[in-house]
Amino acid sequence: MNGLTARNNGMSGWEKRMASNIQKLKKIKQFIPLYLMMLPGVLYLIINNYIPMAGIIVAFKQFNYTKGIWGSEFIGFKNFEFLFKSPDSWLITRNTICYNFAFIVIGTIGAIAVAVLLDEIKLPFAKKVYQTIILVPFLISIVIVSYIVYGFLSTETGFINNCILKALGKEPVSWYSSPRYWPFILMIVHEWKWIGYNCILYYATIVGIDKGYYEAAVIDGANRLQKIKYITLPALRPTVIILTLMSIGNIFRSDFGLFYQVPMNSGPLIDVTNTIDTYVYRGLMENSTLGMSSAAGLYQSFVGFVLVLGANLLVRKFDDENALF
Amino acid sequence: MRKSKKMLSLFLVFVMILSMLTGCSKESNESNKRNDSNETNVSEESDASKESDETRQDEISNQQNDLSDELSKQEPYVVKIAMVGDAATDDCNAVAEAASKITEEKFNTTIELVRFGYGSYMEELNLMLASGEKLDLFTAFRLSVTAGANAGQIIALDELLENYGQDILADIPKEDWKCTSLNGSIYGVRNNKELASGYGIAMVTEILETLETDITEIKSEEDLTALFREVKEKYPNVYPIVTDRGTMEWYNAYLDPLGGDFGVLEDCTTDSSEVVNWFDSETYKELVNVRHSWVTEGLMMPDPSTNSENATDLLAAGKGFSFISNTKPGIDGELERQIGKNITVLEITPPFSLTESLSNMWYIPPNSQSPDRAMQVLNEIYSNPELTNILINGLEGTHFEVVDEEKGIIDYPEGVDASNTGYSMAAWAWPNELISYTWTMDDPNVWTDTIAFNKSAINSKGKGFMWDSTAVLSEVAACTNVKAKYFNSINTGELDPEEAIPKFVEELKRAGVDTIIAEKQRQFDEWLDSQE
Repeated sequence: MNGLTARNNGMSGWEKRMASNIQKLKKIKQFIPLYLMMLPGVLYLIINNYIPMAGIIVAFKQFNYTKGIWGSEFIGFKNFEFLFKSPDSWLITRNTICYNFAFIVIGTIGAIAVAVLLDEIKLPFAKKVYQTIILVPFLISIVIVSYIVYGFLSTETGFINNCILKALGKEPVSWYSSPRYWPFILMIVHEWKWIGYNCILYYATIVGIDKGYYEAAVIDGANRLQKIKYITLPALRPTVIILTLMSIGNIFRSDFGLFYQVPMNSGPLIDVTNTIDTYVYRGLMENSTLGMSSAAGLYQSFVGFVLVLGANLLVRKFDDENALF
Repeated sequence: MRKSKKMLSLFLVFVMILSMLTGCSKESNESNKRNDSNETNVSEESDASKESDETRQDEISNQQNDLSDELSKQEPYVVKIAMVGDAATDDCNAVAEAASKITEEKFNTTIELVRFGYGSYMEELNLMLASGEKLDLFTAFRLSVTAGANAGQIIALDELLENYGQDILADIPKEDWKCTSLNGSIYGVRNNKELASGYGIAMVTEILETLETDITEIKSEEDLTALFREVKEKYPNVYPIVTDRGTMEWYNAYLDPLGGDFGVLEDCTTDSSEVVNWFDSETYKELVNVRHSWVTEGLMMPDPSTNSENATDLLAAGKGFSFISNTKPGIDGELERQIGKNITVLEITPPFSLTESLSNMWYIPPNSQSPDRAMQVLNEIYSNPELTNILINGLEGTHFEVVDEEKGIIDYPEGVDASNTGYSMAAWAWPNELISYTWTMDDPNVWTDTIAFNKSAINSKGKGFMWDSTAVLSEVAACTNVKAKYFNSINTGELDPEEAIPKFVEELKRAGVDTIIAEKQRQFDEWLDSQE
């Protein structure tokens, strides 16, 4: 008896679904050109990002080239040990997170400030010139950046010691062996390099704000600062949330070039420049084992993944509209 | 919705299959092409090879005759060789073609040669090895026997050497094989070059000649102080001693690092088999105390550990007088070419030989479809000067010119030099530089001197020991990071050893250096027992 009704229900449900599916198909047809446009991007993601993900398994194996990825011996979490066993584990985790956190906060504030200022410039030519100038550092290789920094900080021939400190009548500083200055130096170098790139998205959002709002505000007697405060900044909110969420996903990764090349791998600075990436590089350079470096990468990605989920959860709680998913 | 999901999964499967198919088809296409080109080559060359075979037959005994006859009638095969050093692809192909003429006649084998710059070699090689790409022979460059064999990147050569490497076996002495073997199997064929290293100091001759200090009296780094003082007095604008990009890694001491990663023989010429922490040893303390005194007296360049320039550049620019250098036959000439000034190298520590002294060698990877053929070619490169000369120096007329036929001296052709040649020289990385030509800038006797140098070297007690770090990799990673913090600043004398060394040693201990040393001691004792 029960079975019969169930079957009947099933039949009718199936028919209903067919009908709705046909409707959906018709809708999809409409969007076929859009799907086609999406295809190259999706293909790229699948081939480049999803298929290689199977390689995660290397992190749990004693990788042997002859036996291959699947044939190598499974050793569980042994490859991860070196990240936690060291007395420096806490230090490198702290450095990585603190630097990245500071980069996110200061970077966002700086990028928004630059974007707002750019928008205030009315002369189109000047606007282009400024934008280009700010973007140039982003295009310079980090190795070259490290030598530009060296040009400033070299004890003997550097600009700061020779032109600024000397003129002020102060003693020259041996920058590459004074760790206390480096959190600031790294911060400045990082901002100098990235601010032009980071402000592009904010600037694009600002350009996209309906000019009607500003005109209305002018009629109401708002000055420049008030326009920025009540129109520009609230309009930027969704962009800020999305970009911040995305950078939180990378909070366990550090810009290797910035932390290794820019301090010139100087020993006395290691306590303030050692991050997870530089630790792994230094530790495994001589004894390259694929398993251990994969383990480090997986650890960083996993923590980043969890943090993104957590941050998104928070955003959803307070500002449901702007959550990523 | 469900339908679109199904569509997506179907699509995924399709993409995967497609990518797999394209991967396969490419490979088979390539191998087909290779076979084709081989066959045409063979038919073209076979006449020539028959003729020259006949002229040689008189000299060779019948038995060998059969063997070489047999080898020249093998199936055609391409041996792909990976080698370090910059070279243009066209030049590599041209050199490989010239070399193939010899190997084709003998083994019906052609050579394919790829070269990568020093910076990218290991990366490219790892990619080739991991992807299973065809590769038959490669030169070891920062890949040790232990690491390579444990990771399955190289294969054991014993049988291959027995069958096809008789010339190599006859030339390399028994104790040298130990340095390239693991668990009783041979994995590498060591290059025939200088197999030991001495240490000393390289100085600008021009300045040295105006000094009164007697350098023949110098027997240790401490004795250098008087010399440096005189330099400082007479040439106040010249730093008496400089560092090489912030490092001063070489010591005038009989140190055997026993494969690296902490744990050393403090003096490898004595009979002691105790593995110690070098940074906690008396010898190290004495050495860096002297260097620290150079810093406090102003004899060392300022900020020695953050100097970003090469020692050779500093000497060339007239800023520096000397640096701690390794010594070997022809080192003066080598440095003079880099610096552009006359250089005097004074040997303070006579040459001694370690396992690491033999770290330039050749391997056969599991990627080789026919290791037999790889070994035949390797044996030929090792023993045939004609073939080795082509591979090391390139093509006559294009990459070099013979200056003195009798003595075998060559030079660059007009308009070509080290900076613009399409085929850079890296003789030391090839299996046997000692049978190749010498260059005009080298001492013509450099190869005979090298043989004498190798003979005169003291063998370390630890020579032949192979360190396997697998069990303590976590500790090694932690200790290496600690070392990065202190190594250069203590080594160059920048930090006061009295304060810095105890801190350094303490941090190493916390990072587990004792575990590494204990493990190394265990392996070393085991190895020593097996030697008796």
